[in-house]
Amino acid sequence: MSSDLTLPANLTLTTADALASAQRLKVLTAALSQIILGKEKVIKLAVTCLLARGHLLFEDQPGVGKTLLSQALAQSLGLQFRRVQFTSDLLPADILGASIYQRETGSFSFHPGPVFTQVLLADEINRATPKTQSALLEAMEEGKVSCDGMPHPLPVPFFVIATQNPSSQIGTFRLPESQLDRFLMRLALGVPDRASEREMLQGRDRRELLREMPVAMAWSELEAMQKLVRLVHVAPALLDYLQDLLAASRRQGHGLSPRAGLALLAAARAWALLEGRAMVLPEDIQAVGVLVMGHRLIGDVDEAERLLTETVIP
Amino acid sequence: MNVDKQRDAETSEWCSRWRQFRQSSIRVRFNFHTLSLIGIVAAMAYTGAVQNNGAAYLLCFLTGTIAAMSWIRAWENLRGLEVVAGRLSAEKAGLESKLPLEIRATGSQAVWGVEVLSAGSQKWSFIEQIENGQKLVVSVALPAAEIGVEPSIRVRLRSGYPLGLFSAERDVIIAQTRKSHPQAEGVLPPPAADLALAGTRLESGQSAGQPGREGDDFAGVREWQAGDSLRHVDWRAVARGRPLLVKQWASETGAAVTLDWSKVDLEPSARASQMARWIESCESSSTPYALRLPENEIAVNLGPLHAQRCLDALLEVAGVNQAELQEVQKSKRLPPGHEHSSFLPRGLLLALCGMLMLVALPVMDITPIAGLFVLFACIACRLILDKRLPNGVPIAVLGVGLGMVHFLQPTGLFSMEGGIATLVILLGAKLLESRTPHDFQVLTMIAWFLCLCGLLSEQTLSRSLWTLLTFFGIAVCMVRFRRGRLELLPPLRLTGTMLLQALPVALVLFFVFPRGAFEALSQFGTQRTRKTGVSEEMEPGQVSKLAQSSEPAFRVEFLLSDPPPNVNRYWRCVVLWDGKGLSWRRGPDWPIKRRVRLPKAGDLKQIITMEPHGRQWLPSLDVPVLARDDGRMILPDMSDMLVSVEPVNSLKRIEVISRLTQDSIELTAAQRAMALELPRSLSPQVMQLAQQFKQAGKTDLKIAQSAVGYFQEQGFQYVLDPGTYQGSGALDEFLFDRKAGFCEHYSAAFATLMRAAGIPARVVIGYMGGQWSPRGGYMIVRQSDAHAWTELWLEGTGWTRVDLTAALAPGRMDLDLRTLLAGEGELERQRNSYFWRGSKALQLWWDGVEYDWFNSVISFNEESQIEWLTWLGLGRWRGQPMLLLCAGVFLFALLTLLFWLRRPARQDDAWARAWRQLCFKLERSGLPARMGHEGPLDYAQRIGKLRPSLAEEMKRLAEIYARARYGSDQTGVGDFERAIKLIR
Repeated sequence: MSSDLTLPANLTLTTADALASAQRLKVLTAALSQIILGKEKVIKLAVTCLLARGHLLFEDQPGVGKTLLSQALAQSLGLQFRRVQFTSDLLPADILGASIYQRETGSFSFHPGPVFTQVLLADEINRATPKTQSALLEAMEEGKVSCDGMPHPLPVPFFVIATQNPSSQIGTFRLPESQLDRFLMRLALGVPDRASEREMLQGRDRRELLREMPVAMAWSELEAMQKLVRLVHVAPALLDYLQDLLAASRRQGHGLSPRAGLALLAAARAWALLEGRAMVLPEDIQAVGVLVMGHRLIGDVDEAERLLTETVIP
Repeated sequence: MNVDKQRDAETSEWCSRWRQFRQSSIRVRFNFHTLSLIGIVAAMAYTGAVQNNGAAYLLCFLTGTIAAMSWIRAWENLRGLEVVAGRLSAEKAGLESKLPLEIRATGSQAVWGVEVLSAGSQKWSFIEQIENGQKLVVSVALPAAEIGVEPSIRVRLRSGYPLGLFSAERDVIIAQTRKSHPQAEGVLPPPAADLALAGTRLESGQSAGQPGREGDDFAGVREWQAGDSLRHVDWRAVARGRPLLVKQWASETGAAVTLDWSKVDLEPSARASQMARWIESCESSSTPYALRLPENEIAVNLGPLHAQRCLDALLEVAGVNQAELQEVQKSKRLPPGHEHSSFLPRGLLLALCGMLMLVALPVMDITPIAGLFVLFACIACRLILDKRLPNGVPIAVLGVGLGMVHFLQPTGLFSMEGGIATLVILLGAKLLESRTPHDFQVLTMIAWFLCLCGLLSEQTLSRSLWTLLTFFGIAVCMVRFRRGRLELLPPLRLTGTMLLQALPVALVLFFVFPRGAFEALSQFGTQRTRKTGVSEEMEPGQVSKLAQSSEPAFRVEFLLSDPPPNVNRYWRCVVLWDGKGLSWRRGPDWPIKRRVRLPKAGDLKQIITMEPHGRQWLPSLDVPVLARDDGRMILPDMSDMLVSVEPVNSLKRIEVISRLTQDSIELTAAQRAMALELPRSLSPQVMQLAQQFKQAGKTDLKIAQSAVGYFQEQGFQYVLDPGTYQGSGALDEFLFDRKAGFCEHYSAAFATLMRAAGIPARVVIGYMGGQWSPRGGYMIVRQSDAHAWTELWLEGTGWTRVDLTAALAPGRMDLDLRTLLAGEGELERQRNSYFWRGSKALQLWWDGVEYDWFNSVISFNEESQIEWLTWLGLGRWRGQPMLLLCAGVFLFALLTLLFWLRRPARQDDAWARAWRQLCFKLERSGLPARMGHEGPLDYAQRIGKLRPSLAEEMKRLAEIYARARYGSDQTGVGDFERAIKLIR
């Protein structure tokens, strides 16, 4: 780390600070790109999600590197990582933890479940029953786990990266809209292009590389940048555009919720900071729009794209 | 090459714009009210032409212009709307649904009074007002549809704004398919599960092969029973102190259902409903299902999207043919709408009734006042009883009213006055049964027509202003009908704006419209106006009755000289030869020989503007030499009286040359006999008196003087109202008993006495005196100056004026009648009071204004038009070119209004305006336009790719704009604008 980023004394973000932050984040994304080849945009978006303090949902076919990316993310930031494979017999207690009766003391003690970690990878979340899914999502929302009336706080930071297979298959419990709403973004990795795939096939084992990867950015630095994200300037003209988008989505039925609007704004701010700007532009909203709105709309990605092309920038 | 392409592009753009205009879905249609409007404007023009009535012309032009402008406003009202439809989700057939529409007012004008309805539905929504730039969401009811797909939905916008004279319509076709799915009904049970799911998509876990484990899905726990493997016990629960529980596993339903179209034995629509029911039940029981249709097969799946797909596929098979649907749509009638259904609030009704009363008041000049009472009664009825009256009542009122008119109106039912009275009663009757804006619109059109009728009897400035005000008030009511809200201020403002925009055009048309075009029509004119003035006979009491009114009789302007002194201000009107004591008549018409005299220097030239009196005499200063009326020369006859060819039925302007001294002429024998004729019933007393005079002097002059002396000495009194003198003994009563009379009595008695004494005498009625108006520079002669005097033919001097009144009441010469009769003390008091002087001054001032109004507007005819045009240098233009000019002015005014209404909405943000300018500039130079959703940086990048020379500059400008618009620093617009100008 060459420069030490401190929070600006006054509460405005200058372009210089933004550029400096962008430089630092470029280092992070470059490090991640070493592990996952040919997916710079997705990595950038994943970092955006982290900066915006949101949870990430990967929806993709198996074998494209979702787990790898999540692990890489955790490791590059020096965060603790844990993985839970969701199956249909998973019970909420298996995730959150349970109170176990101790014969010696004659009382119950709480054994924390795998959720007590800094980065949690919930693999194939759509395989679990809705009851289990809701337990996890409740923990995500509240940041603590209540067992027998006692709250147990989750560690800070706490990120959930969930994966699911495309929902058109039978044998899954599709996440209901209210739960989908809790994920900031839904990303799809996809297969890499030929050159990157070639490099991957020829090169070293990805997992070995992962094990050797050093910490690219300390967590405290990322936390500081999360605070900077909140200072990125949003002009009234931009809020007009955002609200026009939300209103356009609500023309048919209930469209996007206010939480979606907040999510979109947070993601756009994070993207602006990644681009090195101190203010949010409509292009930022358009860059993250489909990913933030897609899983919240009935019409899916097509509708999100339609909204973006049809809404006029005021 | 580029220029040509550009020009081609421009022309093609204009062509496409013109094509768009032609096909544009806005139509402004004529309706019933337009017809009545055309009738009213034609009537106004006719009145103006026939009566040469400038005020009517002005009203006609004003009405025409306002109507034309309202046409443009109606068009623009609907044009400024932007309709965006919300998404319509698929619904069940046979149910009504609602389509949310977002209507935005683009452009600079607000949108008023529009109703939205869709073809076939009976419900409409009414939009009051949308401010410019605002949006409004309206739900349009769509009619119940058959099973099937409608490729588009047709929505109609209708408006009667602003004055209801035209109906504007706009059809908006919303390119959204409306899918009506079959309703789910049917009693057949769903088919059995026949598709075994091959487990291709199931994750085959390790547990699949285990015994006791039937499937992969956790299906809860149950109590442990003997025989269950201990491996399946939930040990965690046991550790927590629960009893032994066994986890249960169920496979997912490994079988799916196939819904087959061909296997159901029902009619197509019933079949579709049945299958919809099955789909519903499968979804609710989470059974995957597949659909098999004659042309389509949908694979097994589950979920709302799958259900949607299946229902859509069903539509294709079971749906009604689309072409049939379109035809059905076209034949549906549209509901009546706002014009025919909504009700008026009470406040508006009150205002309208007030306006109607104001309109009807001036018309009472020419119609019996009973009509007004009927109208008032109807208004009271309507306002007090608010409920619906039975149908017979208005017709009964109309019948009663017509009967009254027939009996009370002297000219009968089928004359102009009768027609107008009928209209007033019709107004009342229609008011009783009016409920909807359509009915009230009819009322207002009738009221506009009555405004015109008010101008038929009087064209003074006050009347014209009254007419204008009532016209304006009615127009405000018309605008108010098109809205539902309760305020009165916006309609006032709108009507005021329209009036202000129409007035200049009306004034220009007033000057420019060729008056001579309709000269031929003026012979058809019948004029019914109030007529006052001296009549052509004199009965005792008539002149005094006339003298009680202080209305102006005529106004005189003196050219080239000062007005004559009071002593000479005798205005000659009628000469009476045939006398019977105190009553005199004109006498038989013998062939009238004109006295031809040439004007000399020293003769007084006057321009007399006279009010109509219905007879054929023309006033002139004693004695007239020559008169000119509208180009015709009129010479006085043997009585020195000016007679016009037609009766004076309208305000008339004549030029008269008069000489103050009388020429001596010879009397013919017939004339002498005529002038000496005595009534047969002359009493001996009077004869004796006459003999007395005759003996007093040798010459006629001496005789006359002795007679005058007699009157003066005998204590005769000059009073305005001496009582009635009737019968054959009237003269005696006057001369010997009462000895009190007015100028008519004196002149008649004196003339009779002189005739009896052998001196030819005749009586002249006219006016004496006149008030000088310093502001106007003219003299007003009023009815109260009416006077009668005697003329004696004396040897050597000819017909000499002998005015007894001058001898008896010399004060009459200097003062007007009223002040004279009021007495000296009153006079002093009046002179000294400011109020009197102030009111007199105000009266004179107002009279001057009216005189100017008459001169400039009412009597503006072809002559004055030619004068004015010559002054402008366009003297050669007459007839055809003038009409073209009129049309040109009219069209120009309409185009100006169109452009004013189409001005773009103000953009308040300076940066946004500048950016828009830049985009427009780039678009004009041939680059593709910026898309609505394109941000500044993306746009700059795209431009940079298409035109590399601009890449650098565009990037810089885009960044500056982005920083200003979306950042926190808003300064520097000027630099930005300057940089834009430099871009090529």
